[in-house]
Amino acid sequence: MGLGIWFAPTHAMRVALLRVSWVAVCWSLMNCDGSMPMPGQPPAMQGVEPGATGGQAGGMEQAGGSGPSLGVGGSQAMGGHTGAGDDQKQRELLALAETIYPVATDKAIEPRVYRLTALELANTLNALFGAGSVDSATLPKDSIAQGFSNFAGVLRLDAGPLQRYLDLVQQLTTRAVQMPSQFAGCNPAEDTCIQAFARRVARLAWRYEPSAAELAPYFQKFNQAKGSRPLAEALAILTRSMLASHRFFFRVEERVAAGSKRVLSQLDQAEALALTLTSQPPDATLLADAAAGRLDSTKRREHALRLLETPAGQAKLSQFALEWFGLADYEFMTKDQAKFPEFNDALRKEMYDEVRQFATSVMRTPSTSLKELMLNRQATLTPAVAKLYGLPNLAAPQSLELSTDRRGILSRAALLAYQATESETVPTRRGTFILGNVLCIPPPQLPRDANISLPNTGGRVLTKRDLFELHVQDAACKSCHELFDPPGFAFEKFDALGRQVSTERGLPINARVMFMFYPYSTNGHVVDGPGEAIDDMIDRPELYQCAVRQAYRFGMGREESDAANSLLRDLYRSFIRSNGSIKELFANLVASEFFVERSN
Amino acid sequence: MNPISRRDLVARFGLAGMVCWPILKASRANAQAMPSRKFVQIFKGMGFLEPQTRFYPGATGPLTAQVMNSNPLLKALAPVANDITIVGGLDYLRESGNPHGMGQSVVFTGALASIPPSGRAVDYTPPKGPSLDQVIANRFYAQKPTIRKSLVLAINPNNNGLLGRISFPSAGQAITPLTKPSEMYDAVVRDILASCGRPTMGRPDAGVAQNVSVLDLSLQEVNSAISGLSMGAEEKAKLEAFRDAIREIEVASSGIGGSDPRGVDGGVAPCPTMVTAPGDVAAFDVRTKFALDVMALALYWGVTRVTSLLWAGGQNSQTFPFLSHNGRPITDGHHALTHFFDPEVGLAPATAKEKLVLIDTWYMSQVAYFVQKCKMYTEAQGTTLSDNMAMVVGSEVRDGSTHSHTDVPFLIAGKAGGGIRSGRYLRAGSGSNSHNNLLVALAQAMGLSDVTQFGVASRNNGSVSLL
Repeated sequence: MGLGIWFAPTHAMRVALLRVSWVAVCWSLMNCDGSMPMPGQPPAMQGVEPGATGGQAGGMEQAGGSGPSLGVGGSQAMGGHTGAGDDQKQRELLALAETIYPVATDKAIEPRVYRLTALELANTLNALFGAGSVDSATLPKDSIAQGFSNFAGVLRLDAGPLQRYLDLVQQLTTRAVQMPSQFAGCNPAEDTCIQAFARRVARLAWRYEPSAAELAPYFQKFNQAKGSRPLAEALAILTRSMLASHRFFFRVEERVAAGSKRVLSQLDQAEALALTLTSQPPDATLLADAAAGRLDSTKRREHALRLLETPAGQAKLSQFALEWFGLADYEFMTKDQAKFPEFNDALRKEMYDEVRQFATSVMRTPSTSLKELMLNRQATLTPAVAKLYGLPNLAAPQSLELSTDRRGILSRAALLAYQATESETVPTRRGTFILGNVLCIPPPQLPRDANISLPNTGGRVLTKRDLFELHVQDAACKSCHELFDPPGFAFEKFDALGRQVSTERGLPINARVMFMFYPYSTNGHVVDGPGEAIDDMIDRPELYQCAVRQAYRFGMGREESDAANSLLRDLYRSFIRSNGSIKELFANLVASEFFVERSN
Repeated sequence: MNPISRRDLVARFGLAGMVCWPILKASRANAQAMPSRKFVQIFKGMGFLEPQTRFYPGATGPLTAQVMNSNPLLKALAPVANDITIVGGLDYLRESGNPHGMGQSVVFTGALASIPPSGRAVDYTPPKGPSLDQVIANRFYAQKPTIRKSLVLAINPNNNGLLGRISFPSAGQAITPLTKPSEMYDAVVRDILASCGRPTMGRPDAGVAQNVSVLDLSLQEVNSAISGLSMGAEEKAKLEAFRDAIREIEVASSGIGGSDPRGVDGGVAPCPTMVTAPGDVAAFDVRTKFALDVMALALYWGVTRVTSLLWAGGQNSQTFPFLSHNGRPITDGHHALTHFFDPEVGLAPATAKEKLVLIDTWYMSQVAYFVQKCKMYTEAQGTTLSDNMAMVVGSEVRDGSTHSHTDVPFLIAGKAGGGIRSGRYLRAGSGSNSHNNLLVALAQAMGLSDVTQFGVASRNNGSVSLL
């Protein structure tokens, strides 16, 4: 049902399917009519104890109460959230795996041509020319799809950006060959040195060990250049030629014959694994195992866990969190200067640095737990960001614990401000973001002829919530807004700059809402404010399955299809069993056969 | 100015001078040849406020002085009234979803984007068809290569998803625009100045000349990969695009391409007065002027025959502090202003509308600036760049305050070498109101007479005559 909603062809059908799915889940999970579960009910539903949710027909309950919601209240120091450790809770979540991922086709994904991202190319150049040589932020901006910066489908290299890369390499090599022996690591006048140098460049920039035949034309070019130019210049030309190759910019997977399946070569596996987990070329340890043909599922997992504990791996997990939570395009955020005079480029950057630092700190913990990401209140604040967080007297950057309404990544100022317009919050925007991005419950699309005008208030002063609630008195609007507005209302206690507020236009903000959008778990929970709203999402299957989907999208650089369902189901189960360890999730992704198998 | 000799150029600029000389010499020669046609595609986000009463002339027909005095937007365009064509009455292909994303997808492609599973507006994949600028660029380039097949620019893309793109080479693919003045300068201005013997700013070693000696192997290898590897068409297309990019740079570097015939007084174009670029974070109006200057320069000097500009993406938050409303800078975001009917915007609707008129008027004044600039560039046979180009300005919605996809205004400038009869206001007939018809008409005005359909086939339901 869940996937069916995604692929329903029309808005009306999507809304209808969403509703039907709730009814089905309500029926099976909540025992709405007090009867036994329906015949034919998905087996996964049967794992939920009726008693856990009974007695809720048509009613409400407070967040953190009974039911499949395993809410964890409050906040603890980093590392303090133990995850869905309770066996019963885990069983409930695990029992839903087949409902969430109902199709189990045995089909590998098709091979692809993947252009490395600006970050991956910058990391490669830094490995070659020295750390700090290239700042990826200065490179041409890659297109983004599904909120992620590494979607293979939209990554290409046209003449304009290619020229920029060539110019950059020109600069880097010109500087590097000023000390040719140091750059080459030996005396470049000697053939053996040049050969070793070219192999080193290839290992880093092409991410594999090329054959002698592949390198021969490059040596020929070097020797030609050496005949007419200074040695240093010839060395530069050799380097530039290798960095102008498609092998530098692209990973190319060959097509597989119809009806057959192929496993990526060991070196291809190493390359894919390293880029996926670190945005860097494979390191020597990984290459050694690949060269010896030792990469199998177990070894890939070992390498993954090792790499994800390096700074590059932690940064990659942090990047995943930031892009999952919608911040890939954060740089474009602007604010109304008249309304928010304190906002400027420096503050925008500090806000981003704060959330990035937070995400990275979670990814540095042994657990790399989803719960930490969602609940932890630790923050390192600059004085300017501290002011946004209601701490006006901070004289220098400081680590501290935020208020109880500021839980995890969802309550960070950067995210809240980005999910608002330049001047105002829009509950619908934040609500659809939470549904679509955080919980992977695709919000219904705006009907093409929808009337977007809000009602005339006749001069009455209203809060935005009051206004939207007037709006949804129109039945045509109600069916959708009643789904995605409530999470937005719950976050109305944060303004368009992410500051905590209790009033709006002089009126008290009512952030008490009922959540009715969960397709796989109990609806009808009442929450009051952002803290309870976040608590209500924790331990829900929707959150876990979304983490899995988003990890797949980010890790594979593509959308999931039905073919991925068996993998997603396995990942979901192992993710639950690992108490929501994001590191384990990615390790299991790259350890899977799916990661390395290709079919037609 | 005096013509530049190859010896002078090489003496001053070494390899860069040597390789650029033949291109730019040829670009400025042959005054007697027929001038070539050029195409400009500009995206202005957020539509026009109430265009029926605030932009469109009262009736179809010539854009007389009286007509051009009838509202502030037309007044801003009055200096170029004879060079523009206003087209109304056109509708977009529509589907459920974010109207900004959907509109931005169709405006120059006539094809929709697909909504991904996440359903988020900014996540729309690129449209299921190429954009007009890229179709024309491919054709022009095949006829005769230029330094760049097309020049794709953006001032404020607003994001790097669909809402930040308007040039699509093929279904599902988008071209990353150059967004920084320094990038635009390096792409266009540097080599032109070098060819004129003028000093250039920044690094002396940037530009096409540096690539002469390193791309040959790359081209050989990618060709081998394309022919030797077995890949799906969509995947292979990525390598083919890379191969084309190498060829484009190589052609420009080797000096065998370029050569768009133009020039005055014996084939010598005046050197540009522009010598530096503004900072990459300069104000929106400053970067706009620079981008427009670069576009005109690129077309005139034959760097390319096709250029596109995304001014500010659909649903953009662009502010306009350089405009004054009642003595105060306009610091509101454009999208928020168009929602003036929402009490949450915190503005009286009348005030918001006044600001929106100022913003729309400013945009039109920039169009007029660009067209005037193009009119100053004299080409062969007594024509101007404006005479030989077609520029289309479109938006993702008719009016940001309604999100409507019907009766969307289009502003066209230039005479397309005789392919457009300008100085008029046209309205599509009731049976021909699909805007895909306009895309076909523009392609034909550029000489692509075999293009009889554009975008979704069912939307090609009539014709728009620009003649």
